[in-house]
Amino acid sequence: MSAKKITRRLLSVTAVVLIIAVLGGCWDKVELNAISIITGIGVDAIPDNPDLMNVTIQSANVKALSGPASGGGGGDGEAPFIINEEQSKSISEAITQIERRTSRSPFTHHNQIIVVGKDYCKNGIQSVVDTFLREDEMRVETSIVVADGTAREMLSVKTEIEKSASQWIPGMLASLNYNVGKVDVSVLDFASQILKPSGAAVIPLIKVEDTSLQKPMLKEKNAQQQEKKDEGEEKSGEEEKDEKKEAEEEKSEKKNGGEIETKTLSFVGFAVFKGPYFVGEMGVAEMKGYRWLNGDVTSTRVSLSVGSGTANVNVTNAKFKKKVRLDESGKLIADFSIIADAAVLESIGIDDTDIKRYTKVLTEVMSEQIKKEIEDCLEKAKELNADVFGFLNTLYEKHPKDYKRIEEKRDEVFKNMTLITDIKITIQDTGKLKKSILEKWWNDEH
Amino acid sequence: MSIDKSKITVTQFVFTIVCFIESSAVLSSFSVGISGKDSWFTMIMGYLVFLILVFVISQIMRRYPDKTLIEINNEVFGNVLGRIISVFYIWFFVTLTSLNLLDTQVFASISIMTKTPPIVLMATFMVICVWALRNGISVMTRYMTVIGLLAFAITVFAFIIAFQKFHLSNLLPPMQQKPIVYVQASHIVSTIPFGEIIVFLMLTPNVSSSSKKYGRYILIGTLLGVISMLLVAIRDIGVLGETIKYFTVPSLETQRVSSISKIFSRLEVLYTIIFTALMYSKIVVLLYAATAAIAQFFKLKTYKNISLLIAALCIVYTLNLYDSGISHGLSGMLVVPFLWSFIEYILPILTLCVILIKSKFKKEGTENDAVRVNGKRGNLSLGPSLGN
Repeated sequence: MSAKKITRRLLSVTAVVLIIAVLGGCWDKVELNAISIITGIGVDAIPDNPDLMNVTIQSANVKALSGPASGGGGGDGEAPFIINEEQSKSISEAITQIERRTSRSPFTHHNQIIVVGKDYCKNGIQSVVDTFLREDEMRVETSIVVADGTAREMLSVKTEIEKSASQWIPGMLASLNYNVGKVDVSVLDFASQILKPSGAAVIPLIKVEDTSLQKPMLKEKNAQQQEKKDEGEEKSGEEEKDEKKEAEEEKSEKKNGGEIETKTLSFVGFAVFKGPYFVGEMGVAEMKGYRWLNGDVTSTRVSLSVGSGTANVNVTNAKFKKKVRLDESGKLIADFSIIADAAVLESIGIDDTDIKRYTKVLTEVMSEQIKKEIEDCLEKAKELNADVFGFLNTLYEKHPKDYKRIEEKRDEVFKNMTLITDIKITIQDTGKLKKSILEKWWNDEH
Repeated sequence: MSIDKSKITVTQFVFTIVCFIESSAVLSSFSVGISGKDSWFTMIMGYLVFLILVFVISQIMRRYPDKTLIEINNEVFGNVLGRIISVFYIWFFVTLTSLNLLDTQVFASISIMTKTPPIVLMATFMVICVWALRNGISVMTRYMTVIGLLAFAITVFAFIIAFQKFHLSNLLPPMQQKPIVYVQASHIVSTIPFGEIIVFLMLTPNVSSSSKKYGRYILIGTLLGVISMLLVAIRDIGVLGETIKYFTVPSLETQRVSSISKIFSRLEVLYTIIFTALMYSKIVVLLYAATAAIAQFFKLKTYKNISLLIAALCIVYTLNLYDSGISHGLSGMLVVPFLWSFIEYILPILTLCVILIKSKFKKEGTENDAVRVNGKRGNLSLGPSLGN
């Protein structure tokens, strides 16, 4: 082989190696031990300074997660997450400032959750929405929740089963989506909703609560404190100092990932938004109606009161139809129908000797109850002037010319709308029992 | 006569066109930013306008089956005017190569390789394109079938996994915008990417086909490509809804959002892979067209010797085309469609008109010759003949 050929071959091989290295991404390599994986981002308002926000960043504590004590929940090991806080004008600025005091660069690609404090929402969540839609590293499918409290508190707690709020919340929302109906809202979902004609959207509202074990202990503690207050015991100066020192140590321990209280997080309703502005809440009671009207019910349990008796029914296979129209006077009328199956899970104190009459009674009571839930929810939405059910969107999609007629006064049209519901639920089975075995004790006083 | 003597099959030719069109499906933001959720409709309208160009190209190729665009210009317009028009086409091919290289570099820099310097990305990418080019057109188009089918399979797979987030209501109501929006968006689509098919006039002499039905091949290739584009557009609109107008790369966002439970998630890597493969297939064809056109213009024996030089010039040109991505985007929406319309539609239509006029005169001239021959016994008088 001639020298020229050998040189050519060597050059070709060198070129190939360089090309593979460059186009394979070697220039952009990022070592795992050089990044701090952000798992949750929280935003709170600062009471004295409306121009700034308090950004809380929860990062995974890799050492604690990978160490032998990481599986234990006793708190002997380090906390599974690290909390960093910064006050700034924007989330990006906060992350940049936090970067200046950490040994690793923040990596937001694996952010699981965005928590927005309720107080912050009142000024509008424009910054959050824009940052998460615009920045390349942020993902638009990240779930967003509103904290009934502060985002900082929510991200700072340890939870049962999962190690942190940023793992708990997405898991809980996924479970609710599967078992109950769609409650999870991503940044993209929220943005799509507020760009539609109704301009209204909901975000899940989550609250930090004590665990079921802690609740009696806390009750006792509160009772003791109340007793002391009533007796008018005055604390000595030293006692006060001790208490203050304890509280500060606890706070600093929490910040450094020391012994953190285990709490639980509950889904308590929806925060309602008109555009990016928070306008109100829908609690658990209204939430049921919301799910019915949105046709998001996969399965749900309905508790019924029938005279002096009670029943619990599981509704499944629900099919929804929503038709929206404008009458000649420009009034919005929605025809909403539900066809579903139901199974009796529990029945006490209801006469079930005649199965046909029994199922008829249950069906009627159930229909009335669902109708009431729907109407209560609609009233709440009208009160907040937020068409979160998408009636205006449906009118725009199906009858765009009619929508254009009322576009200027759509809020007023929504407030005056009429909803006609038609609910047909068929009880398919009564469980393993054909009739109650406890009939002879129904009227007994105990 | 093509400057490259190697031959490609009809399948390779068709799939090269498919890859060419599919590569533009992934960068639809020029028209989507204007037409929003009606972009599927403007795509169809743009395609219908493009059919005019297909007819024109097929008529030109029918008359000059073994000639490239540069040779056709010389034949039709004469040496001087033909060369002037060829300069337009050469500028068009080089600019198109640079623009597509810029799109590839910008996409890679934003999504996957944020720290790699742009010039390094462009240089290594172009080295691969030149390498394929220097091995001839048959090597260049050898894997187009595989890339085209793979891209289509990934598009269908992406559509299926996006179905969970797909809402049909996002496509409603159709056609509620002002007519000028549809005109503008259709105009953009008819020029970028459909009108760019004109580059294939540099490849048609290399197609080994006895029937020479180039119009049919181009129609089939573009039809397959447009089906893929429509699937992508409908999927993006169904998933992103009203927000589609706001994203710079809507398809990437759709892929990011799509998942099947937690097992198949973060699938934007699939999009990135297929995008890179499709952009390679487009840029290599454009680079071939530019290099071969320049070689033929300067009457060189081979184009391979100047391929690296042209590639280097393209990189330098790319770096100086626009001062920012924003001006690139604005230019793509407001300026480029008009420039491209002149080169992609007006020039070929003009070429066809001249061909038809010349052939009509030639026919009349031949008839006059026949009359003169029959009129004067034995005396042949050759009247003026045009088109030789």
